[in-house]
Amino acid sequence: MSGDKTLVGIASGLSLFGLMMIYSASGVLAERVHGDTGFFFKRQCLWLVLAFGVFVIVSRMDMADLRHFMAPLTFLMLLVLGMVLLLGTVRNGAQRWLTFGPLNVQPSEFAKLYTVLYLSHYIAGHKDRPSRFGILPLIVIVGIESTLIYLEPDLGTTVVILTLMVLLLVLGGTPWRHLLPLVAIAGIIIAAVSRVPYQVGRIRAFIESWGDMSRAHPHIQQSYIAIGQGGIMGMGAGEGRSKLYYLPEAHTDFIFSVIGEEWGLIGTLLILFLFFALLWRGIKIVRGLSDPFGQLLGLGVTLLILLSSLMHMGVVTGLLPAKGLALPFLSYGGSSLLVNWIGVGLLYNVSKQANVPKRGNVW
Amino acid sequence: MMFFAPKRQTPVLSPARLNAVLLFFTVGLLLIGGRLGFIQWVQSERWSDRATQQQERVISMRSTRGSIYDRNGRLLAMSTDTPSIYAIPAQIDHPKQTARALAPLLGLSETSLVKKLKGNSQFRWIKRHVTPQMEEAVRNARLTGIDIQWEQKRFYPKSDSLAQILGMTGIDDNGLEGLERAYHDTLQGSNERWVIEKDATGKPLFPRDFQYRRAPHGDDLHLSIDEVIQHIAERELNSAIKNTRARGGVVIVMDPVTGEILAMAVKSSEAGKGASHARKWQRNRAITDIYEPGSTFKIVSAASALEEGVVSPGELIDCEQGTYKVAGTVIHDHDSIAMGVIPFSEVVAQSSNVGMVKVMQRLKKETFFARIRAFGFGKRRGVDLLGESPGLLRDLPRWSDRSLASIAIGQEIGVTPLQMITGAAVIANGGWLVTPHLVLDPPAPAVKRVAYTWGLSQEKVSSTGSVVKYPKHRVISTKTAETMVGILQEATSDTATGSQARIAGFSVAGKTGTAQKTNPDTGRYYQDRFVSSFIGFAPARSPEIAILVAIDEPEGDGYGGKVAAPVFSAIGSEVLRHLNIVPDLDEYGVPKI
Repeated sequence: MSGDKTLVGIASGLSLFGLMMIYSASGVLAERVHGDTGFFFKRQCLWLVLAFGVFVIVSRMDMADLRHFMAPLTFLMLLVLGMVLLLGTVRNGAQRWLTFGPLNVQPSEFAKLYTVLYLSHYIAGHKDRPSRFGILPLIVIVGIESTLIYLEPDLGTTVVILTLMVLLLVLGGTPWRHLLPLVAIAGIIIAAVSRVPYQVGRIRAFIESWGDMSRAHPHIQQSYIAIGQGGIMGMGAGEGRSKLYYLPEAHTDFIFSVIGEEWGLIGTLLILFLFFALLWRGIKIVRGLSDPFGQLLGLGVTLLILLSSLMHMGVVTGLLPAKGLALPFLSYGGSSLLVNWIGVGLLYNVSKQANVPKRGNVW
Repeated sequence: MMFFAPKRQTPVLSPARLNAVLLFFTVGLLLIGGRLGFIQWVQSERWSDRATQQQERVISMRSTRGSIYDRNGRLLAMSTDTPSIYAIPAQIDHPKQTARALAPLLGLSETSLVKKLKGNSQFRWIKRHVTPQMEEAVRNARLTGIDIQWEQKRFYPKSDSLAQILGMTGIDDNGLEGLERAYHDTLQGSNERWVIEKDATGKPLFPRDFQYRRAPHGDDLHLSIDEVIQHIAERELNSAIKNTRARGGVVIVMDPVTGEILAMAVKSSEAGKGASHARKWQRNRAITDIYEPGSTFKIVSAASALEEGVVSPGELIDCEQGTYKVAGTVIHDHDSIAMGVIPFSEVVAQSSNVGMVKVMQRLKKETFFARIRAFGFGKRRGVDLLGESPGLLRDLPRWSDRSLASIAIGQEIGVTPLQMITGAAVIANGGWLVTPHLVLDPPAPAVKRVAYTWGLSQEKVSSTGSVVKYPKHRVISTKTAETMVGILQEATSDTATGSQARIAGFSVAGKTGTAQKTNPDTGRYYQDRFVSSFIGFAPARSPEIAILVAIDEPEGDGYGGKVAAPVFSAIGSEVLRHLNIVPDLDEYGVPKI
């Protein structure tokens, strides 16, 4: 049984390109803050090595074992998220990190993957024998989880997790009556927001900024300048100027802008294509599976990566409201890289099953 | 493994749902791709412009103004950096305290200083070009919102000498007058502009070799002026004006062969009113003011008549005892010294108006007019100073019946001193109209006089670069020039009008002139106001210098021979000695062989 090697190739390509972009985008900042232009680059290299190791382990793991640990995993996840709020490291006004010596871990990244696991487990587990409480337990747990993350604050991740939840519930065939509480909650939130003129104004202003780009958030305007300056061919590797503190967090939240600046439309479309290829492979793997948990897990991982990418790229191109989000595989950040590679590991793992029916020796 | 076991498991995710997911995310990716195409293709230029605006900074390096030197490399004008004090009022919280601390350091009044320090302005000069001691005191005081800017300041080591020629610069170092203005672009050079990338904090990212760039520097000017000759000219002019209680005067010393001006002294009793300027500016009367040249213009008349062949130096002319009727008016000779029949050369030497008019009447007025133009009158001489006057020469159709006679003796025509000496230089250099100039280009004295043979070897003279810029044209033949030199030497003989112009040891050729000034209100001549002048050159047969002396309204009878000729002599003898010219006459006044 062999897995989907193309998938690993795509993820590796993105990660290596990411390493180069991190070096380019963070060099100036690293030199100023740490006195070493390669500071962030070297750390990301180490994280990539670690992530690949974890990928190998995950891709060989027995998935059934994973489902037995869901209860302690849930407990651990909520505990860690709670610890972040109590003991976490504050950066740029947000308390998102737990520091262990030289290591900075961002638990909300892991929470995304946990959500996928838990949703797949729950939905698959109750497919044929629905719970008495419907999806209430799931809503409670994901609700607590996302509230903790929202409080850090990390609105971007919260949105990703909630969107993932809704998508997997709907796609997983949850009866409509079970979804009613969710619809009700959504309705209440929308009604509440629409009654606050300030919020309505913000939303209207944002929508208007699609057309009138000069009204976009200053950070987004810097992103336009970076991407637009790149033109079709780009300014060349390392030649971008926007990383000279014009872009905030050039190596994380705005890495895609730097790619656009240095590699032009050719580079950005290439990245888009790689993410599309990832989506294609993910859907293809899921289609070949018959096991609900495997299917949901594979789809969840695919959606997780694609949602994060779309949101990152949507933000830096001004299509979505400005929120700091990492671009999977490309942005600097060990937790994000590790989580995405675990995700790829899970996908790879289930893809090995997907191949079986094709060979016609299952039934 | 569990994946194989339960046979009844059916997939939860139908292909339709998966296709919907695929479609949804593909549309998302396409939206982003479209947006990227819009930003990176359609609008790329717009954002690139914005990028340039914010990421680039133009650093301009102000050019240091060039210096001005005389022909021997003596410094006449230079720029140095001097400190100036300015304030950033917006940063000053307590103007009164700051003023109290600052006022004594700069010798300013506290109350006026407080006014300057108030407000929200980002920049205000407090005092410009302060002394190094003041600068140090201000620097040590470390006052918030008070800072020092180094600026260039122009210095003229010779103070007022040459003021009208050098001109001056304004407080921002731009040329306002004189050569400073005429050669402003050359002197100032161009400020260099560097486009430097900067980061978002505004910190410039200098190219690696940037620190080795030298600040730009304007070109230096090397003048034909000889500072020593200038000093002699100024000194002699001043003393002549003082002795005759004249209103003013002009002295020009020129190299008649090259047109290089060695000295240009201008003095006027109308002192410059611009007392606010560091140096008094007066207009350069040597090029801006016109006067009637009187008898000195007979040089041009006589040369024209000789060149046209209507007279020879020895031809006897009846001077009609000093009275002659032309077009219903009477022309007199000076002082009514009755002159009878004398040779043409004597007519010039004794400056007989009657004799000269009678000879010139042999010329058609068209011919004479053309000759006058050829000598450079009625148009600007093209000297490298601004504000030159073209003089006043009536167009032919406006000549009256009397005009030819009047102009022949230097009336009814206005000339500048510069035009007059350039016209006389035609005789001195053997027939060439040169372009008078003050700036040597190339900077070394262009013409080696050794290579010069009088009147003929103009091409040798022209072989240096300066001639392209300062062209010369033949006006009369060498033969005519030679004849004229003889006549003008005669004009400085013992018995002639210019006798006091002679210089011990050197042959001198020249002509006196005494012109009545016109009353601008009545249009008639004043009976008692003259311009007394002398134009001459020495040594007569191989002239090194031509000198014009014009004294404005001297007291007394004002004859050029008495007032201006001695000044010529004094200046000439000292200048020739300064230039180490070997005397061409022995102690008895006989030419050496």
